[in-house]
Amino acid sequence: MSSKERVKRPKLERTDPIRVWSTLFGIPPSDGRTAGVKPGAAGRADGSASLQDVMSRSVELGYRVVDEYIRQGQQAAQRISERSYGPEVMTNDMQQFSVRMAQHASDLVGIWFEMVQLAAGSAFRPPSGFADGIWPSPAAASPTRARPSAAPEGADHTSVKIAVASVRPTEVSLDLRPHAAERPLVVHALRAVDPDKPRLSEVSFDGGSAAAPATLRISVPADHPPGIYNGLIIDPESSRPVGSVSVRILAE
Amino acid sequence: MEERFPGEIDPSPRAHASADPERRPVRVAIIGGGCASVATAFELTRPELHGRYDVTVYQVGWRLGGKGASGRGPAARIEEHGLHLWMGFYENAFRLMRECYAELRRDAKKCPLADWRDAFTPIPQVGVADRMADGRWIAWTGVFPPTEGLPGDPLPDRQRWSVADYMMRTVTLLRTLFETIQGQSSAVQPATPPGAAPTGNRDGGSSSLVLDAISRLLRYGELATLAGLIEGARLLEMLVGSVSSYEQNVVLRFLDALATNARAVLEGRLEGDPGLRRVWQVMDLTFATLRGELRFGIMADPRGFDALDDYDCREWLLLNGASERSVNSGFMRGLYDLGFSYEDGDVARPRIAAGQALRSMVRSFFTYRGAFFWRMHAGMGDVVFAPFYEALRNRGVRFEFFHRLENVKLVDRAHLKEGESPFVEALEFDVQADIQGGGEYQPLVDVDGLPCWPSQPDYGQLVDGDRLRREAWEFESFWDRRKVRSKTLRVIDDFDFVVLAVGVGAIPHVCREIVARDPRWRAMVDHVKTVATQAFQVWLSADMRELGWERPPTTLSGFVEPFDTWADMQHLLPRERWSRPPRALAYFCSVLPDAEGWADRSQRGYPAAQRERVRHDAIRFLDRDIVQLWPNALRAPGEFRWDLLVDPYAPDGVDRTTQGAARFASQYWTANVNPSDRYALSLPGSSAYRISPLDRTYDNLTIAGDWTACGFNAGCVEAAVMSGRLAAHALAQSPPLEQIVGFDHP
Repeated sequence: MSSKERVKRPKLERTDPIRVWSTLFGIPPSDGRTAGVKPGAAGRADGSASLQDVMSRSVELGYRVVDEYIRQGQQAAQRISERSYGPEVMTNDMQQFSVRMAQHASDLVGIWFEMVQLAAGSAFRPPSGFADGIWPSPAAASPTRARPSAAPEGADHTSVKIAVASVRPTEVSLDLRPHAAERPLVVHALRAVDPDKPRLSEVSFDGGSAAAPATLRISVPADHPPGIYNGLIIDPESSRPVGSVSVRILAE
Repeated sequence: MEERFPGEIDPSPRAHASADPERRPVRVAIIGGGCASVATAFELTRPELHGRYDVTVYQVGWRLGGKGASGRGPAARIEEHGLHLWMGFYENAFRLMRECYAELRRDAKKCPLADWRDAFTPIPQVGVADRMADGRWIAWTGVFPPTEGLPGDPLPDRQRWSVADYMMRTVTLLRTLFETIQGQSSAVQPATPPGAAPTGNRDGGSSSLVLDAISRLLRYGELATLAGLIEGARLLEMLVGSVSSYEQNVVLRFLDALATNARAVLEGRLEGDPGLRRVWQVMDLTFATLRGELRFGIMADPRGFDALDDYDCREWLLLNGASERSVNSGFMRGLYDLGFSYEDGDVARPRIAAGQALRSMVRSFFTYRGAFFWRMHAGMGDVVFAPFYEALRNRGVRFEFFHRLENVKLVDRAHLKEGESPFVEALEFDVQADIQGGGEYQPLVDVDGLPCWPSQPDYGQLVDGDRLRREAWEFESFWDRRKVRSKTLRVIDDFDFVVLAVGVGAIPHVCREIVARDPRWRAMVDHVKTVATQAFQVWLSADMRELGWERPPTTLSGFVEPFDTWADMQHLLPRERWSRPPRALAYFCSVLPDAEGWADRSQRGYPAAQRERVRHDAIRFLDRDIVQLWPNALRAPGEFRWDLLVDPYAPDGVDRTTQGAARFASQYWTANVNPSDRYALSLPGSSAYRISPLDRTYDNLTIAGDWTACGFNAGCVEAAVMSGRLAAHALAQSPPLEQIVGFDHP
């Protein structure tokens, strides 16, 4: 470097914190969002993951697989013995179990490939379909992620603001299809299972566009009976339901 | 080996060790002298880097410290910007501080604060104030138990923080609260109902046993007793400890059953027992937090707590079932007060991003070491910035005081080569004063063996110093633009890298070109808002007991505005130099609502007008409100005992020339309204607009400060130090990110 040469900053291995350690293993979270973290980030400062690191990660992941088998097995056995769950729930449980185990197995295979790559010093890559999360896509590996961004890449960008006016503790659960909040929505008065309970009628959606997602406004009268009130959310254009809202009013 | 650009430095330690002796060091200009600045300088000049970085710190006025600056006034009294406490989880800040003291090797026979343990001690008692239905304010105080280790001690390798662990600890806190109530109950019930599940930690029970026990508790209505609730909390610990083993609904439903039963069990007792109601409010908030963490899937969200940052904390707690009363409790107001979390300084607009608030809470409550709060045994300038100044000087860092940055000049886009990133071409300063003889300004004064910062510059060291004093140049005022000359530093000729470590409030003024050209920077200055603060200190001739405060020295927040936070600071009196020492010293602080035209630089009278506001606020507060904490502080209803104030200008401390509230003039108060002194807020929806010190948009520029995206996005010493360490990493790849404690955190 000559004295007249402009000095430039070094390239960095990563620029964001690791918020969830499981993303190190490339396990996508349960809602399917993509982890916005560069895998292997706990490696050496020179940018290459050490064999030691990969070994310890693989051992740790191996334990997770075994642990998951044991726990899921216990859970399934418990449910079968209590007969407290219907066949539909059991099917779902077993499906979730299978998916999760496939993820773990896939991650383990991915790490194994990484080990092989390190040991062989080659540019070997795993076959497609296995452990995509182990190697970042070019976009994910870029040192300057586009910001500001409230959600990581690949996330469902649906967001709804919820405004609740209630003198009592109130919970709101909202289930919406992806991007549904980006257009005007309609919600009818919410009903309880008990037909004697009055409807919760002061429920509405404001706004709703790609630029400014909708606001769900709920006003709970002070004398409204405690309970759970449910209703459908309708897309007025198609007249089809696009989600549901559930409001639980607790006793003071 | 990764690819490097031509001219890019080789940051590896091995390269440093074998560096070409003819290769010149990399010159780093650090602008600003607060916590982030000294942390960056400390990292870049570590001996392990073999002098690779040649650092110069440019500082407006005569002292370092930024928002943590303090000075010695008359009677060598300590005059602070506000109240500064260090929390027990400030791992990065304590680590660097301890290394600094170790490196200085101060002589304990000559210096009263030779070791960091002399300089920092645990705060004995903390508290919050709560307003009762009849309008009275009640102070709730308590002691956080000491924990193992000390902040800054080495952490285990590969320390990993997880939401699941924090949830476990939260449930344990819940159980402890139930047990506390049971302990206070006259009819003590058995701790474990017959037939309950075996107790243990997260690994202590299998899924089937836990589900079985839950089913039994619910079936026989055992949750309707305190003992049943304790057992329920114990089972909840197991559920949360291995939450992936259970369907989320199982955990949520049990949590709700526990909360509903707890409310039913305690409801009848709350009205007549304010103490119990306070405990219930904390439990209610805890239930809401747990419920929200489960419902929002925080454990698996790659954004960690950031996923909640679009919500205000209280709004999010309400959404998850907390009551209005709980979210307005003293506990919550204390949280907002400590973070000055009031948009535009308006106490009617409390706002803090829920994710960062939760991160702050879990770090505060569950990861503190030694003590929850630590206090300093002199001014923050004396305890923190004087040692760093000395250590950095010893390492060869240069300090250019009286340098006010006016513009960060970017290279003309037309001059950029293809593929070249924009870079800082020049730094334009106003020089506020020249130093006699052209040497370096010597900023410290000796107070009984302790190097300290004075509250005024040493005019004797300045060229034309008498004139500057006579004309009352306000070197630290944003509105006083007087200068003796201009100075421009140019890239390659004068510096290689720039670390911009000024407050975010100053960015629009000193980075006009960047803000105009770069939409991300524009969005950052629009969304990462700041707030002015106010503080005052009183030295009293009566001790706290005489004033009616019967408890140990306390730090208390959540109190009445305009001064919601009070700290008993009498431990500082021995560090000052009084002929007749006062018997008590109290600090008060809070936000200061913005007044019209605060950002207008042409309004030279603005800071004086704001100081006058603070004086009025303080006098009114002492006349009207302090009686709630100090029942014997009034001479007559609505009139403070002004004769209690000790005057540092009078030989015996008694002011015989003035009467009544006019005596307040001898005390200390401040309006922290300079853009760089304003406190950075964590407003809902703002964290996404913060920019990281690791950002590489500009080829030779990085930023540092508690306003950056540093992993802990809150205004505090720890965030500033983390950010400073990140800035050093951005330039030198040192320290490794894994060593910046809490950067990798949910």
